Amino acid sequence: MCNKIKRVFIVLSLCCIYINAQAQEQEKIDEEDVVALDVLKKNQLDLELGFGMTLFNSKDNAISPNLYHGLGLGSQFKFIWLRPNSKNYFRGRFQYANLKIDQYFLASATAYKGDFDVIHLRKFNFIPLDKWRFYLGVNLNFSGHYRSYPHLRNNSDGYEISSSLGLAIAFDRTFTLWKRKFGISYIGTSPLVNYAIRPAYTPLGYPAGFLEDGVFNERDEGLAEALLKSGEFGSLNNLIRLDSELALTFHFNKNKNSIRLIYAWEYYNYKSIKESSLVNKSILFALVTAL
Amino acid sequence: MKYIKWFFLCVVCFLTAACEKVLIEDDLETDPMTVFETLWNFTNEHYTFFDIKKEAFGLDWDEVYTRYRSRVNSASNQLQLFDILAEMLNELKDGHSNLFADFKTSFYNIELKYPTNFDFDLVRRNYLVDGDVPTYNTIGGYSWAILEEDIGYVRFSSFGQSTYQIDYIISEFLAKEVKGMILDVRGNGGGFSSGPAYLMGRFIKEKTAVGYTLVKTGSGPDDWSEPLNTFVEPLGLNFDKPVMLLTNRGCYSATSHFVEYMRHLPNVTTIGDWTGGGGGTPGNWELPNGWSFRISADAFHGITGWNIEEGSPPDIEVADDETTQDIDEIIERAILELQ
Repeated sequence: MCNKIKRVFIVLSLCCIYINAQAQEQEKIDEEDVVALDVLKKNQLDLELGFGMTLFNSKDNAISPNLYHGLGLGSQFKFIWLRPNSKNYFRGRFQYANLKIDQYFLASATAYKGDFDVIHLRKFNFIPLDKWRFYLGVNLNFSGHYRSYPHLRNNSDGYEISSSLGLAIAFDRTFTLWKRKFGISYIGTSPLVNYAIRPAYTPLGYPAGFLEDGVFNERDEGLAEALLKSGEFGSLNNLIRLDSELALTFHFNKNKNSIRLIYAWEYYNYKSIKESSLVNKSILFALVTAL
Repeated sequence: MKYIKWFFLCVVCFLTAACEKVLIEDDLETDPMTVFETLWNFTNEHYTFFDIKKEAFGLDWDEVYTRYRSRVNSASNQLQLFDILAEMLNELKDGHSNLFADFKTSFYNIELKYPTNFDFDLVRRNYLVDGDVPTYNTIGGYSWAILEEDIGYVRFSSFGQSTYQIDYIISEFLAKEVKGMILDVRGNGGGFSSGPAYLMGRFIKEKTAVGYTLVKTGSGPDDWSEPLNTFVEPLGLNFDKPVMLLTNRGCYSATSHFVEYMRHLPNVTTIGDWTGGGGGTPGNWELPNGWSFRISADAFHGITGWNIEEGSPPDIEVADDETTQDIDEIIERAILELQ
């Protein structure tokens, strides 16, 4: 399945490159349209709703030394507020997948992941390319990733919860091809400081706060409170995360709506006593409408 | 300008196409030696009762490595490997240690080493019957009756069952003004860890400290959490008359916890044999070939600091004479104590 996703990506990338090359040749034709689109997008609020497939790869060393992977569903909503010199995103992304390992057919897991991002970007043309607009900004991210391993009875839960503040970069351009308006856009984010929560240690998976308050509750009451106070502040020393979203947009000529093909890729590595890593890739098909 | 653009596109391609094979560490090999090493190492780093096992029967985990490692080679097939690993885990003599594969599950049963000291069929036929009419009732995991001596008898077979029905039984005992209760947990192999606190809540009138748990928090031998105290709060109907708690080696895991909680109460007397132990909550993990296993990952100590892994002693040690087909000596002693 990984290879299939790669092939799709390669095709998508080649399309982007081809389209870019074509667009070069049509610069004169483009100019008028680009200007028109720019005018259109000033102070504009868009809503994007996307749905598609996600490929999960997760390794949680507190649970298993094996890589769990599987195909699942992904969805995303995004409010995009475009201003002349800035872009603002409020993005929610939800993913679900059934996972397995290659070595053993009875080992399985179910993964749920949710992310909320607030991204503020300012236009910043640090690379002198006429047709491209570059942005730099900040990203506030709230992320939760929960995995259930039903065959591991007493510690069947794996999780990471984090909130982080980091950098965001973006670029985009619009162009006309075959008399149709298209756009390419990219957003990448990476946290610099974070507050992250992960089970204290294997193999029981209690939150660290649960092991420090002097009381062992056999009924597992108070775990939520212990969980919330179990987090640790850190930087790149404990959480490395890269989130990347490449989109190809097709604008309808008759109205302000558009459709968008999104390739989202995410990697994180949380270095606790037993580290946890994740790579997931999504292909989403989205509808974008101006509000 | 042209080169900048292509360079830029390459960067984007890298950021978006990076493959998990590069970013996530490789899985371990699945050959028999690696699987063996992983199990031994993980147990070495996480198992919580090496000290008490060494004291009880001289367990030397390094010596175990040497002995079993020589039996594993690259030609070992799945069945052979499973049996070697299972045998190695059983060196811990811990009922909470298991190896799970699709074709087999290994286990260690501590009670097989000791006399049974319990036969519920004998109890039913001789204590809970009037002629050929049973005098006992059952609900959930409970069987109960009021004996001829005006003593309430309750057997609780598993902490895998709900405990709340004890309130109905206590209300009947109180209404009939029984002299006391025989609470028989012999052969109760445990269940939910919350059960002992729920059941004990009926025998106390105020919040009571019953012990503490140490949880392994790292791979080093001294990586333990601080002692985490366990408290039990009053719950449901209260029974404050004398209680004879019947125990044997079949009392394991949650039941061992329950007996250790209860045996320090002033109105409770434990009669029978030692409990079986099982003082650690078992935690599961996986091996590189996907099999899973579990070992004890924390250690409960009673209010006096007693580590219950090898069992708790009874207040009155009584053995059941298996040659007598109609008498349960442990119940007889409990009746005697209550009279």
